[in-house]
Amino acid sequence: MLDLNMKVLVVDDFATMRRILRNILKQIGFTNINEADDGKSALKMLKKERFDLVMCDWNMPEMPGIELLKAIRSDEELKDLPFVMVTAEAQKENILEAVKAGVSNYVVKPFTAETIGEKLEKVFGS
Amino acid sequence: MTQYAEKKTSAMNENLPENEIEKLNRLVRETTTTGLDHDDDRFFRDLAFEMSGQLKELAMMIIDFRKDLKSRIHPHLTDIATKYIPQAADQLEGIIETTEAAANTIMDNLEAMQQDLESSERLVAGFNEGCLRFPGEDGIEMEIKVDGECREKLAPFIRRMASISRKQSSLISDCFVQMSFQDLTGQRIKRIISLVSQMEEKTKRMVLSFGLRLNEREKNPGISSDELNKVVEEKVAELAGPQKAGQGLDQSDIDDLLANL
Repeated sequence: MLDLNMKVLVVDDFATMRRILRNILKQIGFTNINEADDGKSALKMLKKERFDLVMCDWNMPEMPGIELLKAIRSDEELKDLPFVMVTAEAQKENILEAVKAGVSNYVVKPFTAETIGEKLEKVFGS
Repeated sequence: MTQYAEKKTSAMNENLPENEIEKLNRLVRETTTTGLDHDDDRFFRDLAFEMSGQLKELAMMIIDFRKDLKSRIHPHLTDIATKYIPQAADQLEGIIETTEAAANTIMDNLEAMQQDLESSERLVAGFNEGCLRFPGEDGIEMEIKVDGECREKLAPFIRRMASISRKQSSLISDCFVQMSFQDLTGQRIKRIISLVSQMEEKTKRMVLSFGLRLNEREKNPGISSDELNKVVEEKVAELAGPQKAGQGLDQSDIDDLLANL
Protein backbone atom coordinates (compact mmCIF):
# COMPACT_ATOMS: atom_id res chain seq x y z
CA MET A 1 0.00 0.00 0.00
CA LEU A 2 1.37 3.39 -1.04
CA ASP A 3 1.89 5.94 1.68
CA LEU A 4 -0.20 8.78 0.26
CA ASN A 5 1.24 11.25 2.76
CA MET A 6 4.74 10.96 1.33
CA LYS A 7 6.40 14.15 0.12
CA VAL A 8 6.72 14.18 -3.67
CA LEU A 9 8.87 16.48 -5.83
CA VAL A 10 7.73 16.93 -9.46
CA VAL A 11 10.54 18.30 -11.66
CA ASP A 12 9.73 19.55 -15.17
CA ASP A 13 10.51 22.75 -17.07
CA PHE A 14 7.03 22.77 -18.66
CA ALA A 15 4.41 24.15 -16.27
CA THR A 16 1.69 22.23 -18.13
CA MET A 17 3.36 18.91 -17.46
CA ARG A 18 3.92 19.74 -13.79
CA ARG A 19 0.24 20.54 -13.49
CA ILE A 20 -0.79 17.31 -15.24
CA LEU A 21 1.44 15.22 -12.98
CA ARG A 22 0.23 17.07 -9.89
CA ASN A 23 -3.39 16.40 -10.89
CA ILE A 24 -2.75 12.71 -11.54
CA LEU A 25 -0.89 12.30 -8.25
CA LYS A 26 -3.78 14.04 -6.50
CA GLN A 27 -6.24 11.64 -8.13
CA ILE A 28 -4.16 8.70 -6.89
CA GLY A 29 -4.48 10.25 -3.44
CA PHE A 30 -1.16 12.04 -2.82
CA THR A 31 -1.54 15.24 -0.83
CA ASN A 32 2.00 16.59 -0.38
CA ILE A 33 3.14 17.51 -3.89
CA ASN A 34 5.91 20.06 -4.59
CA GLU A 35 7.36 21.40 -7.84
CA ALA A 36 10.70 22.47 -9.34
CA ASP A 37 11.31 23.66 -12.91
CA ASP A 38 14.78 22.21 -13.47
CA GLY A 39 17.36 19.87 -11.98
CA LYS A 40 19.42 22.59 -10.37
CA SER A 41 16.57 24.08 -8.32
CA ALA A 42 15.32 20.56 -7.54
CA LEU A 43 18.71 19.61 -6.10
CA LYS A 44 18.69 22.74 -3.92
CA MET A 45 15.24 21.77 -2.57
CA LEU A 46 16.32 18.16 -1.99
CA LYS A 47 19.34 19.28 0.03
CA LYS A 48 17.26 21.68 2.07
CA GLU A 49 14.28 19.48 2.97
CA ARG A 50 13.44 15.80 3.06
CA PHE A 51 11.47 14.27 0.16
CA ASP A 52 10.26 10.69 -0.32
CA LEU A 53 9.94 10.58 -4.11
CA VAL A 54 11.21 12.49 -7.17
CA MET A 55 9.30 12.41 -10.47
CA CYS A 56 11.51 14.06 -13.04
CA ASP A 57 11.61 15.00 -16.73
CA TRP A 58 14.76 14.30 -18.78
CA ASN A 59 15.06 17.40 -21.00
CA MET A 60 15.40 20.55 -18.93
CA PRO A 61 17.61 23.63 -19.03
CA GLU A 62 20.39 24.17 -16.49
CA MET A 63 20.45 20.55 -15.25
CA PRO A 64 18.74 17.75 -17.20
CA GLY A 65 16.97 14.92 -15.36
CA ILE A 66 19.78 12.43 -15.95
CA GLU A 67 22.29 14.79 -14.31
CA LEU A 68 19.97 15.29 -11.35
CA LEU A 69 19.67 11.51 -11.00
CA LYS A 70 23.49 11.11 -11.05
CA ALA A 71 23.88 13.92 -8.51
CA ILE A 72 21.33 12.28 -6.21
CA ARG A 73 22.92 8.84 -6.47
CA SER A 74 26.35 10.25 -5.70
CA ASP A 75 25.14 12.16 -2.64
CA GLU A 76 25.49 10.23 0.61
CA GLU A 77 22.33 11.77 2.07
CA LEU A 78 20.14 11.38 -1.02
CA LYS A 79 21.45 8.24 -2.74
CA ASP A 80 18.49 6.01 -1.74
CA LEU A 81 15.77 8.46 -2.76
CA PRO A 82 13.24 6.86 -5.17
CA PHE A 83 13.56 8.55 -8.56
CA VAL A 84 11.07 8.06 -11.42
CA MET A 85 12.03 9.46 -14.82
CA VAL A 86 8.97 10.80 -16.68
CA THR A 87 10.07 11.67 -20.19
CA ALA A 88 9.41 11.71 -23.92
CA GLU A 89 12.85 10.16 -24.47
CA ALA A 90 11.94 6.60 -25.37
CA GLN A 91 15.16 5.47 -27.09
CA LYS A 92 16.79 2.33 -25.79
CA GLU A 93 20.07 4.11 -25.08
CA ASN A 94 18.29 6.72 -22.91
CA ILE A 95 16.56 4.04 -20.88
CA LEU A 96 19.81 2.11 -20.48
CA GLU A 97 21.65 5.26 -19.40
CA ALA A 98 18.97 5.99 -16.82
CA VAL A 99 19.03 2.42 -15.53
CA LYS A 100 22.82 2.55 -15.31
CA ALA A 101 22.55 5.81 -13.35
CA GLY A 102 20.18 4.13 -10.89
CA VAL A 103 16.67 5.18 -11.91
CA SER A 104 13.89 3.55 -9.87
CA ASN A 105 11.46 3.45 -12.79
CA TYR A 106 10.90 4.99 -16.20
CA VAL A 107 7.60 6.40 -17.56
CA VAL A 108 7.32 7.48 -21.18
CA LYS A 109 5.14 10.48 -22.10
CA PRO A 110 2.30 10.58 -22.91
CA PHE A 111 1.28 8.37 -19.99
CA THR A 112 -1.95 7.46 -18.28
CA ALA A 113 -2.91 7.82 -14.63
CA GLU A 114 -2.95 4.00 -14.42
CA THR A 115 0.65 3.78 -15.66
CA ILE A 116 1.83 6.28 -13.06
CA GLY A 117 -0.05 4.38 -10.34
CA GLU A 118 1.41 1.02 -11.43
CA LYS A 119 4.98 2.31 -11.60
CA LEU A 120 4.74 3.87 -8.14
CA GLU A 121 3.34 0.61 -6.75
CA LYS A 122 6.39 -1.17 -8.17
CA VAL A 123 8.86 1.40 -6.85
CA PHE A 124 7.50 1.13 -3.33
CA GLY A 125 7.13 -2.64 -3.59
CA SER A 126 3.49 -2.84 -2.63
CA MET B 1 25.10 36.98 -80.16
CA THR B 2 22.09 39.25 -79.69
CA GLN B 3 22.02 38.28 -76.02
CA TYR B 4 25.64 39.20 -75.69
CA ALA B 5 25.10 42.53 -77.44
CA GLU B 6 22.27 43.28 -75.03
CA LYS B 7 24.44 42.37 -72.09
CA LYS B 8 27.21 44.53 -73.38
CA THR B 9 24.88 47.48 -73.85
CA SER B 10 23.38 46.95 -70.44
CA ALA B 11 26.80 46.77 -68.84
CA MET B 12 27.84 49.95 -70.61
CA ASN B 13 24.69 51.65 -69.42
CA GLU B 14 25.82 50.82 -65.92
CA ASN B 15 29.07 52.66 -66.70
CA LEU B 16 31.30 49.61 -66.90
CA PRO B 17 34.50 50.94 -68.49
CA GLU B 18 34.55 50.20 -72.20
CA ASN B 19 38.22 49.27 -72.11
CA GLU B 20 37.42 46.59 -69.54
CA ILE B 21 34.76 45.12 -71.85
CA GLU B 22 37.11 45.24 -74.82
CA LYS B 23 39.89 43.64 -72.82
CA LEU B 24 37.53 40.84 -71.88
CA ASN B 25 36.41 40.39 -75.47
CA ARG B 26 39.98 40.08 -76.62
CA LEU B 27 40.92 37.71 -73.85
CA VAL B 28 37.98 35.42 -74.54
CA ARG B 29 38.62 35.50 -78.31
CA GLU B 30 42.26 34.64 -77.87
CA THR B 31 41.62 31.95 -75.32
CA THR B 32 39.04 30.19 -77.40
CA THR B 33 40.74 30.36 -80.82
CA THR B 34 44.45 30.06 -80.09
CA GLY B 35 45.79 26.65 -81.03
CA LEU B 36 43.19 25.82 -83.64
CA ASP B 37 45.22 24.82 -86.67
CA HIS B 38 42.34 24.16 -89.01
CA ASP B 39 40.88 27.63 -89.51
CA ASP B 40 38.73 26.40 -92.34
CA ASP B 41 37.29 23.61 -90.26
CA ARG B 42 33.69 24.77 -89.77
CA PHE B 43 33.05 22.44 -86.83
CA PHE B 44 35.83 23.87 -84.67
CA ARG B 45 35.00 27.41 -85.69
CA ASP B 46 31.40 26.96 -84.60
CA LEU B 47 32.49 25.35 -81.37
CA ALA B 48 34.95 28.16 -80.62
CA PHE B 49 32.29 30.72 -81.49
CA GLU B 50 29.74 29.12 -79.15
CA MET B 51 32.29 28.78 -76.35
CA SER B 52 33.35 32.36 -76.65
CA GLY B 53 29.70 33.46 -76.43
CA GLN B 54 29.13 31.41 -73.29
CA LEU B 55 32.36 32.59 -71.69
CA LYS B 56 31.51 36.18 -72.44
CA GLU B 57 28.14 35.77 -70.74
CA LEU B 58 29.83 34.18 -67.75
CA ALA B 59 32.34 37.03 -67.59
CA MET B 60 29.50 39.57 -67.72
CA MET B 61 27.74 37.78 -64.89
CA ILE B 62 30.88 37.89 -62.77
CA ILE B 63 31.38 41.58 -63.53
CA ASP B 64 27.74 42.33 -62.73
CA PHE B 65 27.96 40.37 -59.52
CA ARG B 66 31.18 42.09 -58.48
CA LYS B 67 29.67 45.46 -59.29
CA ASP B 68 26.59 45.11 -57.15
CA LEU B 69 27.88 42.72 -54.52
CA LYS B 70 27.13 45.21 -51.80
CA SER B 71 23.56 45.70 -52.85
CA ARG B 72 23.17 41.96 -53.10
CA ILE B 73 24.34 41.50 -49.55
CA HIS B 74 22.45 44.35 -48.04
CA PRO B 75 18.75 43.78 -48.51
CA HIS B 76 18.66 40.03 -48.90
CA LEU B 77 21.19 38.44 -46.59
CA THR B 78 20.84 41.11 -43.93
CA ASP B 79 17.09 40.73 -43.90
CA ILE B 80 17.46 36.98 -43.55
CA ALA B 81 19.99 37.30 -40.74
CA THR B 82 18.39 40.10 -38.78
CA LYS B 83 14.71 39.97 -39.62
CA TYR B 84 13.31 36.75 -41.05
CA ILE B 85 15.20 34.20 -38.96
CA PRO B 86 14.61 36.01 -35.63
CA GLN B 87 10.96 36.43 -36.66
CA ALA B 88 10.71 32.68 -37.30
CA ALA B 89 12.11 31.95 -33.84
CA ASP B 90 9.70 34.47 -32.26
CA GLN B 91 6.76 32.89 -34.03
CA LEU B 92 7.74 29.46 -32.77
CA GLU B 93 8.03 30.86 -29.23
CA GLY B 94 4.58 32.34 -29.81
CA ILE B 95 3.17 28.88 -30.58
CA ILE B 96 4.49 27.55 -27.26
CA GLU B 97 3.03 30.53 -25.37
CA THR B 98 -0.36 30.26 -27.09
CA THR B 99 -0.71 26.52 -26.56
CA GLU B 100 0.46 26.88 -22.96
CA ALA B 101 -2.13 29.58 -22.26
CA ALA B 102 -4.88 27.49 -23.89
CA ALA B 103 -3.75 24.36 -22.04
CA ASN B 104 -3.90 26.23 -18.72
CA THR B 105 -7.41 27.55 -19.43
CA ILE B 106 -8.59 24.05 -20.36
CA MET B 107 -7.02 22.64 -17.19
CA ASP B 108 -8.67 25.39 -15.08
CA ASN B 109 -12.02 24.28 -16.51
CA LEU B 110 -11.23 20.62 -15.96
CA GLU B 111 -10.30 21.29 -12.34
CA ALA B 112 -13.57 23.20 -11.81
CA MET B 113 -15.46 20.23 -13.27
CA GLN B 114 -13.52 17.86 -10.99
CA GLN B 115 -14.57 19.93 -7.97
CA ASP B 116 -18.23 19.78 -9.04
CA LEU B 117 -17.98 16.03 -9.45
CA GLU B 118 -16.46 15.70 -6.00
CA SER B 119 -19.52 17.58 -4.64
CA SER B 120 -21.82 15.16 -6.49
CA GLU B 121 -19.92 12.20 -5.10
CA ARG B 122 -20.29 13.59 -1.56
CA LEU B 123 -24.01 14.01 -2.21
CA VAL B 124 -24.35 10.39 -3.30
CA ALA B 125 -22.37 9.23 -0.27
CA GLY B 126 -24.67 11.31 1.99
CA PHE B 127 -27.77 9.82 0.35
CA ASN B 128 -26.49 6.32 1.00
CA GLU B 129 -26.01 7.27 4.65
CA GLY B 130 -29.59 8.64 4.84
CA CYS B 131 -28.82 12.35 4.83
CA LEU B 132 -28.40 14.68 1.85
CA ARG B 133 -26.05 17.60 2.60
CA PHE B 134 -25.50 20.33 0.02
CA PRO B 135 -25.04 24.10 -0.12
CA GLY B 136 -28.32 26.01 -0.60
CA GLU B 137 -28.80 29.02 -2.87
CA ASP B 138 -27.63 31.34 -0.07
CA GLY B 139 -24.48 29.24 0.38
CA ILE B 140 -25.61 27.86 3.73
CA GLU B 141 -25.42 24.07 3.89
CA MET B 142 -28.77 22.31 3.81
CA GLU B 143 -29.50 18.94 5.29
CA ILE B 144 -32.37 16.69 4.16
CA LYS B 145 -33.02 13.41 5.91
CA VAL B 146 -33.80 10.55 3.55
CA ASP B 147 -35.94 7.89 5.13
CA GLY B 148 -35.94 4.22 4.19
CA GLU B 149 -38.85 4.28 1.75
CA CYS B 150 -37.68 7.39 -0.08
CA ARG B 151 -34.12 6.00 -0.26
CA GLU B 152 -35.39 2.77 -1.75
CA LYS B 153 -37.42 4.62 -4.40
CA LEU B 154 -34.62 6.96 -5.36
CA ALA B 155 -31.80 4.39 -5.18
CA PRO B 156 -31.83 3.49 -8.94
CA PHE B 157 -31.67 7.18 -9.85
CA ILE B 158 -28.79 7.81 -7.42
CA ARG B 159 -26.90 4.76 -8.71
CA ARG B 160 -27.33 6.12 -12.23
CA MET B 161 -26.02 9.53 -11.09
CA ALA B 162 -23.02 7.86 -9.43
CA SER B 163 -22.26 5.94 -12.61
CA ILE B 164 -22.40 9.12 -14.75
CA SER B 165 -20.20 10.85 -12.21
CA ARG B 166 -17.55 8.09 -12.36
CA LYS B 167 -17.58 8.19 -16.16
CA GLN B 168 -17.21 11.98 -16.20
CA SER B 169 -14.38 11.75 -13.70
CA SER B 170 -12.57 9.24 -15.88
CA LEU B 171 -13.06 11.42 -19.00
CA ILE B 172 -11.73 14.49 -17.19
CA SER B 173 -8.74 12.52 -16.02
CA ASP B 174 -8.07 11.43 -19.60
CA CYS B 175 -8.39 15.05 -20.81
CA PHE B 176 -5.72 16.02 -18.28
CA VAL B 177 -3.38 13.35 -19.58
CA GLN B 178 -4.03 14.41 -23.18
CA MET B 179 -2.97 17.96 -22.29
CA SER B 180 0.58 16.63 -22.31
CA PHE B 181 0.47 17.36 -26.06
CA GLN B 182 1.52 20.90 -25.08
CA ASP B 183 4.68 19.62 -23.43
CA LEU B 184 5.48 17.14 -26.18
CA THR B 185 4.95 19.59 -29.06
CA GLY B 186 6.65 22.33 -27.04
CA GLN B 187 9.80 20.22 -26.61
CA ARG B 188 9.98 19.62 -30.36
CA ILE B 189 9.40 23.29 -31.12
CA LYS B 190 12.16 24.22 -28.66
CA ARG B 191 14.56 21.99 -30.59
CA ILE B 192 13.58 23.78 -33.82
CA ILE B 193 14.05 27.17 -32.12
CA SER B 194 17.53 26.11 -31.10
CA LEU B 195 18.33 25.10 -34.69
CA VAL B 196 16.89 28.38 -36.04
CA SER B 197 18.99 30.33 -33.53
CA GLN B 198 22.13 28.55 -34.70
CA MET B 199 21.21 29.41 -38.31
CA GLU B 200 20.67 33.03 -37.26
CA GLU B 201 24.11 33.18 -35.64
CA LYS B 202 25.85 31.63 -38.63
CA THR B 203 24.07 33.87 -41.15
CA LYS B 204 24.88 36.95 -39.07
CA ARG B 205 28.56 35.95 -39.03
CA MET B 206 28.50 35.39 -42.78
CA VAL B 207 26.92 38.79 -43.46
CA LEU B 208 29.36 40.40 -41.09
CA SER B 209 32.34 38.70 -42.69
CA PHE B 210 31.22 39.80 -46.20
CA GLY B 211 30.59 43.34 -45.04
CA LEU B 212 33.89 43.70 -43.22
CA ARG B 213 35.79 42.19 -46.15
CA LEU B 214 34.29 44.75 -48.56
CA ASN B 215 34.85 47.59 -46.10
CA GLU B 216 38.49 46.73 -45.45
CA ARG B 217 39.19 46.24 -49.15
CA GLU B 218 37.69 49.62 -49.92
CA LYS B 219 39.74 51.34 -47.19
CA ASN B 220 42.93 49.54 -48.14
CA PRO B 221 42.85 48.32 -51.79
CA GLY B 222 46.42 47.02 -51.63
CA ILE B 223 45.76 44.69 -48.70
CA SER B 224 46.92 41.12 -49.26
CA SER B 225 44.51 38.24 -49.04
CA ASP B 226 46.16 36.88 -45.87
CA GLU B 227 46.11 40.27 -44.18
CA LEU B 228 42.48 40.78 -45.16
CA ASN B 229 41.52 37.38 -43.71
CA LYS B 230 43.32 38.18 -40.47
CA VAL B 231 41.68 41.59 -40.06
CA VAL B 232 38.23 40.19 -40.88
CA GLU B 233 38.61 37.23 -38.53
CA GLU B 234 39.66 39.52 -35.68
CA LYS B 235 36.77 41.93 -36.26
CA VAL B 236 34.18 39.14 -36.62
CA ALA B 237 35.40 37.58 -33.36
CA GLU B 238 35.27 41.00 -31.69
CA LEU B 239 31.73 41.73 -32.84
CA ALA B 240 30.24 38.26 -32.72
CA GLY B 241 32.11 36.93 -29.68
CA PRO B 242 30.54 35.69 -26.47
CA GLN B 243 27.65 37.98 -25.71
CA LYS B 244 27.40 39.87 -22.48
CA ALA B 245 24.78 42.46 -21.75
CA GLY B 246 25.42 45.50 -23.91
CA GLN B 247 28.23 43.82 -25.84
CA GLY B 248 28.65 41.65 -28.90
CA LEU B 249 26.73 41.43 -32.11
CA ASP B 250 23.15 42.52 -32.28
CA GLN B 251 20.70 43.88 -34.83
CA SER B 252 21.95 47.47 -34.58
CA ASP B 253 25.64 46.43 -34.96
CA ILE B 254 24.85 44.76 -38.24
CA ASP B 255 22.56 47.56 -39.42
CA ASP B 256 25.23 50.18 -38.68
CA LEU B 257 27.96 48.22 -40.32
CA LEU B 258 26.02 47.57 -43.49
CA ALA B 259 24.69 51.09 -43.65
CA ASN B 260 28.30 52.29 -43.82
CA LEU B 261 29.23 50.06 -46.71
